[in-house]
Formats: sequence, structure tokens, C-alpha cells
Amino acid sequence: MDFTRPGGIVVDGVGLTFHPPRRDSVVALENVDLTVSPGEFVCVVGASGSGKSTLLRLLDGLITPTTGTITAGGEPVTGPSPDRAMVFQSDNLMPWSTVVDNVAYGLVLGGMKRARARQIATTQLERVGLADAARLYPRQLSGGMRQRVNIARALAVDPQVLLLDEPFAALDAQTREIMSAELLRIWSADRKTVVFITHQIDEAVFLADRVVVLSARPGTVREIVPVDFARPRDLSLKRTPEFGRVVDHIWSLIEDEVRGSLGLH
Amino acid sequence: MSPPTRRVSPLSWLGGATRGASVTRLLLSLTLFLVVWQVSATYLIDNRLLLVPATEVAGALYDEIASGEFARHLGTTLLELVIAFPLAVVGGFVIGAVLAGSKPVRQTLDPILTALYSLPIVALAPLFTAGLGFGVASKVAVVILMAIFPVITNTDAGLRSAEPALIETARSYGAGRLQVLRTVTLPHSVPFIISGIRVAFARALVGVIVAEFFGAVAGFGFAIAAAAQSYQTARLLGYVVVLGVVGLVASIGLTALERRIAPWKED
Repeated sequence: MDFTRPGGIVVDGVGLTFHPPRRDSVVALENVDLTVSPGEFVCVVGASGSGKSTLLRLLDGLITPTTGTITAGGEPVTGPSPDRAMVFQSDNLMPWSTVVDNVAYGLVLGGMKRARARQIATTQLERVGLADAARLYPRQLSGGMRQRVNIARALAVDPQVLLLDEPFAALDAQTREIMSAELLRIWSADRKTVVFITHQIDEAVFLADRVVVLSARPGTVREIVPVDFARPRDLSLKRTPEFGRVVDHIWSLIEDEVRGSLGLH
Repeated sequence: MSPPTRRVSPLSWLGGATRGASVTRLLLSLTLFLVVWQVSATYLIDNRLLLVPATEVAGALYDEIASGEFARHLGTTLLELVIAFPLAVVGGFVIGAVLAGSKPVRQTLDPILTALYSLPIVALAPLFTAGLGFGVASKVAVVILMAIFPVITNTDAGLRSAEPALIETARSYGAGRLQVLRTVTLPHSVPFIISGIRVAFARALVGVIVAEFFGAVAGFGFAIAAAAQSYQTARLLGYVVVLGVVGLVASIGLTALERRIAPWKED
């Protein structure tokens, strides 16, 4: 695999230390190595405090690592770029913009004429099944619909890499199941590179080609678990014994740390 | 059997969000006010210097309009407001934006601004009359000082309270400082600024009237003071009623403006 092609990501020896004012510095990530192939779907799991979200912000370029380097498509990551789009846990839609203008946001920022951007946004809204909501304001939508708008906004800029930070964590369990199946359906259309952060192990195994397990404090790669289930996958996969075995294996890697963080042994 | 019909009680219709309901509510409350006024003035309070019936006030107001006095006073007060109020709003916005943009400036000026905001500026009205004369200038000065502080405070608060998550989202889509300001911080602050303007207008009305009390040749405040000195309660109340109407119209206008430029806001 050529990780320097568009959509490929190379994380090489990356560490990040925070220096909060008047408090001890925190080593959030240490010596993280990770390569993602173009078009691959990678999920990152780990106990709270393992630096999952920090890793994603580093990949997007919102923060810069203390040590090591990150390249995307062969280019060093020095800041946010239209090649990568971020989907945050809370939908973060602009409350003052209609749904279609929210989806067009990244395109308009990039200098595209509003009319053209709205056309593209409308197409993306159709993809996520929300064409009828175009003229509504975010507050008029349910949480699941808002998160679909959020994803459509990221897809609209046609990025090479999609970075998702626990995008379904705020949704109820049933909505979350349907949304992850929807995400796979949308992803399978053009197979962009995806890095997906979650604390739901079954969600990670259902979605990913590989699951990256981070250990906590400092966060570092504990193990990378390949997931070989055939695609397209549907939700019935989750009820098979093979699926359960992969989930159990990953859980066993994380369990001690979750217990530790709770003061249990 | 007829299908069950959903009955809407008159009371729940009145609480609705339709234009008809809100106009009806307005008319109802005005009627209630006039009835209470008329009844109190006719049967409860017989001190004619304190209160006269609404009908007499209407008559006095009619006389003022017919003689052209009303138009003269209205013109002067309006002119003072039209000069001073936009200056207060624009100036307040600029100062508020500077405060929001610079923490050291904000922290340095905060005690002075807080003191000035809580100060009854109208206490300075005689000073401005003495220094700037009986004309429009002294009124403009008082109105600006009265109206500018709520705009400053709300602009500053609005510009600084945008959600960090939205700002980070904008940055992740490649927004620079100016684009963050234009697409996140400014739209977020619009409702704050409008409510600042609302408070500012109420204070501007107080300012212009009180400033005219202390020395003027025309204006509502001048007319009210003149009526009081000659014990013409009906004429005095006539101008007060008109001031009430001005306040009401301004409030309705600002609500309409807010609906137009901030339609995303919940009521």
C-alpha cells in the first residue's frame, strides 16, 4: 500500500504533552505509530483518557504534535485542510443557518459561489435522506437528523479523509445502530478514508477494516485488530458468534484500564 | 354520527402565535387600560391635579395637535433622538467590539464602564444644559450617554460568548480569524446586540425627556414641564400617553427586526 497517495495517512512517533497553566503537564499521547491506507475504514477505541479525540484533532491539524510527524497524502499536516473533514460528537451546526447553508458551509468558506455550493449541498442532503429538511433551522431537527446534516456538511467538501469523533455518542442506542448502518451505506459509495473514534467496541467492530486499540495515560497504540467480515455488512452481523469473539478480544485489552481508572482491581 | 371536532377555546386561541391573536391581545390590554383609567378618574380619584379622565386627556391632546404645538414638540424630540440614538448604537457597538477583542483593554476599562453604566446619567443633564445650551446639542449628549452603555455591554458579551465548539468547527473547515468572526461570532452576537438596543431605547427616551425638563425651547419634555408649571394635568398626561405609544411602537418594531435578522431564534 502506498500511504503517500491521496487519502493515505502516516502517523510517525507522535506524542503530545499539554502544559495547562499552574498545573502539572499531561502526556496525552506518546510514541503513536499508525498508517492508514487510502479508502480504509479505521476505528480507534480506548478507555476514557486514552487521547482518542486528541489523536483525531492532530490528524485534522487543529493542534500540532509535540514530537513526531503526521503526513496525509504524503504532505505534512500543518493545519486544517479541505482534504480532511471533521465530524464532531456534538453536531456543531450553526444555529443561524438553514440546513442547506450549514451543509454548504465548508464550500462557501473555500470560496465557492453560494448558489453552486447550495446545489452541491442539496445533493449531499439527498444522500443522507434529508432533502426535505433543507430550509429548516437545526433546532427544528431531531438529534439524529442533525448528526446526518453534520455528516453531509463534511461530505460536501469532498474530502479525501473523513475524521469522525464519536459522532453517534449523543444519540440513543436504537438511533445509533441505524446511523452506523447508514454511515456504511454512504461510505461504500465512494470509499473515502475514514478514521472513526468511538468508545463503543461493537460499533467499532461493525464499521471498521481495522480497530486501533489505544492504552490510557499516556495514550499509545496497544494493538491493531484486523476485522475481516465481508462487506457490505448489515446489522445482523452483530448477532453472530464470530462478531462476539472479536468484541470480546478488544474488550479484554481495554478492561484492565477501565477498572484501573475506576480504582477497581 | 358526526366526527369528533377539535374545539379550540377562545382563551387558548388568544394564547396562540397567530398575527390575529397578537393584535387582539394588544387591543384587549389597551382597552383594559383605558377602562381602568376612566373608572379610576371618574369614581375613585377626585384630585384633578393628579388624574383626569382619559376622555379629557384625549381632548387636550386634540387641542395640542390642532394648534400645531404637538408637531413642534414631536419634531424637536424626534430630531434629538434621530441624531443621538444611531450614534449611541454605532458607538456602543464599536466600543463593545474593541472590548471583546482585547482582554487587557477590557479589564482596564471595566470598572469605569460599570460605574458609568450604573450612574444615573440624567443627574448630569443640568450640566449639559449649562455647558451646551438650550438647543438640540445638550439633549443629544445626554441621550448618547444614556443609551450607549447597554449596547457596549451586550455587544461585548455577545461577541465573547460564542460556543468554542462552533469556533473549532469553523477552524476545522479552514476558517481564518476573520471568517470565524463573520460566520460564527457575529451571527451569534446579533440577538445580544438587539436586546442591548432595546434597553438602550428605553434609556434614550428617559434621557431626552429629562434633558428637556432642565432647559429647552421645545420637545416633549419641555411641553410636559410647561404643562406641570401651569397645572394643566390633561395636557401633561396627553404627552405622557404619546411617549408610552412611542415606547410600545419601538418595542414592536425591534421584535419585528429581530425576527427578520435573527429568524433562527426561539421565541
